[in-house]
Amino acid sequence: MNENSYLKRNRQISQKSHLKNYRNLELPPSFLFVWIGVSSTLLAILGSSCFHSGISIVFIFGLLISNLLSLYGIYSSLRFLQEQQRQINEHLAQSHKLSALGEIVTGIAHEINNPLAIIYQEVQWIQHCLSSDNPDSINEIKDSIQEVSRQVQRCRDVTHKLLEFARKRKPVTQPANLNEIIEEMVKLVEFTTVTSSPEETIKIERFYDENLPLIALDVPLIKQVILNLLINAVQAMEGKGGVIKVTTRYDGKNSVEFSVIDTGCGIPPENIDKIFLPFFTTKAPGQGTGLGLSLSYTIVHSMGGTIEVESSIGKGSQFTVRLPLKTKG
Amino acid sequence: MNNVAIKVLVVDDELDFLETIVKRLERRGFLAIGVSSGRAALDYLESHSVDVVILDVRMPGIDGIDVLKEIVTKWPTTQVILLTGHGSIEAGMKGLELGAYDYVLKPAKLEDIIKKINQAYERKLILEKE
Repeated sequence: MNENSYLKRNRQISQKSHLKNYRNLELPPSFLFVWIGVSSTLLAILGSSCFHSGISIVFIFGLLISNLLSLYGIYSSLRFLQEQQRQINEHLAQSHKLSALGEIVTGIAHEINNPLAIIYQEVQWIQHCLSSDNPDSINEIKDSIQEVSRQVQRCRDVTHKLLEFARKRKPVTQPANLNEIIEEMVKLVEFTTVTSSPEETIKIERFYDENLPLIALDVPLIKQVILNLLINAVQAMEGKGGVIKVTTRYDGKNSVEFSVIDTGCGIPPENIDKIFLPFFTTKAPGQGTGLGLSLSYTIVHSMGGTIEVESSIGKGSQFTVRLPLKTKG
Repeated sequence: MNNVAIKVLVVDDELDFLETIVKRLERRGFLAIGVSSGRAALDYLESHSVDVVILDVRMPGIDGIDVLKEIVTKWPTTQVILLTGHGSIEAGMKGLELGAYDYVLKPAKLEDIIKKINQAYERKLILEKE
């Protein structure tokens, strides 16, 4: 069996039984060269010690050949193992993609099914009202139609966001002051977090780096990211109050970063890897589509930046966005 | 930046506010036009070129969000700054997601509005070059 057909066979095995069978991989045929090489070397050494110098030249030549065979065997084996590693990585990536796709499909189904269920119930109620002689039926029907209209709007919002997510707008950058942009969004959020109950108060503290240079940004897109992070921070502390810290920092070289840190409920470790997936949400039905963070992720990456999260259950979360001074694209 | 060339359409059903802001923008060198409904704004845009639209969110008839959707589809380089009297994160978020350049709460300082108009105009020029 040559190496290609060997790899093909291993690929077929692994496709059938997924990742588990990688533990039982067979050794490649090139290991035969290593075996021949090592055996020949041993024989050559043994031979040269048994015979005298006149004959040992033959054995030295044998030694050279056997070492070359060994080297070729080692080289081929390494290449083979590299190919195996590449295949394992491919399968892992594919496995992650399938898992993510499953989450997305579940999310879409959830977001669309809930309003559909309400619409279905309202339509049934309208049918019931139409067949009754109750004089109040007309008001009931009006209410139901209004509810149907609201739910249709909800579905439209979901599909709109989905399209927006798929559209991947190319950023249009212009020099902007990130501190000013963040402050505007903070004020907008502060305006709506005022509460009469002191224990539910959410305080926003600012720690702006005054030396932040102007940065090439797509202003409306970065505002969406900031607003999303602030809304999430507020929602993580809803009902119990707390503090949101907003910071900006210039690394003095080629990037700036901003963080939104809350003292909210935190993100469970099993959800950390999923939070940037589209439609992944832990919010109650109707409270969010689960597209905010995935959109933010897409936006930040489209501007050549990164977004990271650190979280601790019951203590809070920190989202950090890092942006290059000179934006790509 | 030379403000003379910037054409601003202000859309608001509160006539007192509309007249005041149009007058102030004209004094500052903008070519400002005021209309009092979403329908009137769309009709105006059908026959006139505008750089920046200052758009009230809550209006009778076609509201600001619906006008925004139509502007983004039909005149994608025209920049829209949403204006609202009620602070609503949802409206702000929705506006930005739909393609508005910015979102301003009333009462806003004229200087802030002018700054945003200039930035929005700059973005329009970048988009037109692409």
